[in-house]
Amino acid sequence: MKKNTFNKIGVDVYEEILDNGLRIYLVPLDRNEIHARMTVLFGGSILEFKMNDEFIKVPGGLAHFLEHKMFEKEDGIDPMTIYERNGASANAFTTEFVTAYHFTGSDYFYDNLKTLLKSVHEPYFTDENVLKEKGIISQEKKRDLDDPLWITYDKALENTFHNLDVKNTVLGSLDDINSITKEDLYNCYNTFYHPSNMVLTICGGMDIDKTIKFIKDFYKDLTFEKRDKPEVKEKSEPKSVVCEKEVIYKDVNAKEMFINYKISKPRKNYLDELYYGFLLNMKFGGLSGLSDIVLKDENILSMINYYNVNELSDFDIFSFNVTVKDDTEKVINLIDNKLKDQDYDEKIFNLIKKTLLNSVLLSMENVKSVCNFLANQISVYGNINYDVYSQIQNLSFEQFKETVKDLNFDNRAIVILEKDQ
Amino acid sequence: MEHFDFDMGTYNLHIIKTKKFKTIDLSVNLVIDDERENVKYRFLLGKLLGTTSSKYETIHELNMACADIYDPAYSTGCKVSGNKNILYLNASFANEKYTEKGMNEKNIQFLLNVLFEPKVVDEGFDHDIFVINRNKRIDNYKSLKDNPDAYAKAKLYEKMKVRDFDYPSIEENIKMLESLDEKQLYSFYKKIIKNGKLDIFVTGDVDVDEIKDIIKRNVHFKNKNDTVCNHIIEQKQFNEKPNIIISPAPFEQSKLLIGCKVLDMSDFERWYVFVIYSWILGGGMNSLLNQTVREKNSLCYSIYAARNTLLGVMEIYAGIDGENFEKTLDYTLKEMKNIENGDFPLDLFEGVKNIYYNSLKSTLDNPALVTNSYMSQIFLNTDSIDEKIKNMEKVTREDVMAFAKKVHVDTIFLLKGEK
Repeated sequence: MKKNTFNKIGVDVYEEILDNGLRIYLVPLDRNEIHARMTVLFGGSILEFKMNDEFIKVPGGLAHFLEHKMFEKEDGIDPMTIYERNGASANAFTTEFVTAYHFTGSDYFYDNLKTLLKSVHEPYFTDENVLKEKGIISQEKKRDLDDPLWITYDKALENTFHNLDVKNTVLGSLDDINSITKEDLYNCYNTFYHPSNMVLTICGGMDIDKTIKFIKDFYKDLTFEKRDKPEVKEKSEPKSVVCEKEVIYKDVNAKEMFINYKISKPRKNYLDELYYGFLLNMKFGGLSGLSDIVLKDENILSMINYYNVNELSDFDIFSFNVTVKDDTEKVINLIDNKLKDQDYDEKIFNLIKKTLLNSVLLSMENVKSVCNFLANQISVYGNINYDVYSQIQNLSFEQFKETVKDLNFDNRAIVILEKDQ
Repeated sequence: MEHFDFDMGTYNLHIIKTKKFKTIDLSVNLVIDDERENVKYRFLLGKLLGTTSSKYETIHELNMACADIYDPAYSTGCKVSGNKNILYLNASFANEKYTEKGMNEKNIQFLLNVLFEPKVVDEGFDHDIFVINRNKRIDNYKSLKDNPDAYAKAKLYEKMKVRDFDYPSIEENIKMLESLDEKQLYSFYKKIIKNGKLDIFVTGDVDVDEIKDIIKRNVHFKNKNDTVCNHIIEQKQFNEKPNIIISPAPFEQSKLLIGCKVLDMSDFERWYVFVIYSWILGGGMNSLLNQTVREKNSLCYSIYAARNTLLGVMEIYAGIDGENFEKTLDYTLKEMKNIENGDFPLDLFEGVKNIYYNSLKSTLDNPALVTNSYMSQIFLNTDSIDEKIKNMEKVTREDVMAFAKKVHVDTIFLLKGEK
């Protein structure tokens, strides 16, 4: 195994790539708990891909449906039964970009790990169990259809992208869910659930040698050969958004608003993303002065929440959501003006740097956040940045201004949910 | 891990020394009795303390000062704990061993200032900020119905009498807030400072004497309150025939909430058997409700049973189609009956015990949980972690069956989606 260390943080990471292509990252940390996460590089935004030399298209919500069904096994023993018997907590989730299965536990580590590995490599889909799941997932979807934030989030994605499949919601529509078949599930499973397309991250109080031996022994009897990355259909995407503003009417009291700024600057490297994060932090974070505006403005009922979607290759998405009492235009102008105002304060830049360094240090205290950090780095950048602490220390104000100066905030999709007049 | 308890004259200081973490956890707690009128004050008091300060004119200045001392994470608020209210400040900051010498004291000073030095003008909180945030709170109440989960839960507890006083309805809360002013809110704050019992907890890799000195230098608390707090509310009655309320709403999904009361609980049952019972019924994916209602009958995505140990109540939640209300209720009541009859798998019984042991071990991995665990020992007289393990080992299937007979469905609320 290759040993790396996060510089200036002092956390060791043992890396190995198995012959079958599985990437493994083990992080010993003095904790009672161990967290393990298997990340499949297949999420809700992938709907067209090559299988047997031909592109096939599957219904929306497939990756999420598959995540549910991976807990169904031929012997009838749900992996959750084993985790719970062992006192571990376990779950899975699907984003637009990945599907992840994970557990956290203090005891029976190897039994839990075996359960995790088996759960992603033993599919068992039947017409009957697929039908059963449709009822469950439809209820999950209906919950979201009543939630103002989810309603605006989903619609904003749909209105931001013309062609990219990221415009489809992770759960799919109710019609999508009801159209999924066991054949669709097997097609996706066979294409994406291969060790070459997976990343295993484990952190906590474990024996590194025994753990890697255990993983290798598990795969010894499985006949996986290293594969190339699955081929996902490439789609060209115009710079413009689909719809600049849409109002949805529903029986609600407050107005919910979601805005996506579509920024067509190809991602260059991790540093650019850090600087984008600084921009959002400087303009909308605790040091921006925005908290005082929100506190004193009766029109803004929630915080102005913000985040950056950086997983897409040709676009960055700056997203905002906020609950508003009456005047949504005023809030849109506030966000617009904040983004376009190029008056940056170096003192605040340096304070943000200080807080970011602190948060990196603290995130390395927790077994789950370590695994998540590693898995995110692999899925977005393809490798781990062990110099993250020094890189943040060395971020320069001049470089920051240079990086963000040409960002174009004119392409935006706004969705407002409000009461029908 | 070593525990040190100090009587500081007018308050108590508890230091938990451990070398395990790079962070220090600080928790400051003032406990007073819960009263009906406190409901209108609690949220706004937390909000105002977190956003106004005698030392900083704006939140921006406050946040700049916070970033300058390596950005401690903190929250303030006034919460309910059984029949008590706790005005609290919970914080976590990097140990000065990883930042700069002197930062531990600077962090503690800053954080105590947030709780004890709000901006006061003419015996009231800042008028403008108070009015705006009171009005926002009213708007939040008015739009509570936009969030069906929160609305259904609020309605359940409005109908289910679990305290000595009737809990104000959403509409009544709005009326109470409309007549509230900044001086009344400040009087409430002063009442807590005057009558509250103060306990401070510090957890981390610290020099005990040094922390004791820092706290002594920076806490100036005049009023001593020696009251032994008992947070527990005993439920004494329930609706023999459950009160069923069905309220139509313009949603896709219906929300079913079943409110239960537990009568005649012993301490052993409250702290141990209740845990096992609620987890068997509706804890994890393996629980009886998840298996029957979700997995076997596909009626829901989310179903769970959540207990409130101090109140002696439990709520069962399910997001379903309205037409499946009776079916879901029927399955739920049958599973509750099954526990009474001992009809639950041994694997599940042993599994939830293992989850409990595991959660105790994970407590030791997190400074905030270490603090909380010790706080429970101090405030609620709960057992130590070692004692908890021994006591949980004693819980038998028969204990769970006997406990199940003490759980009574009291109120059923269905927010019926009619879209």
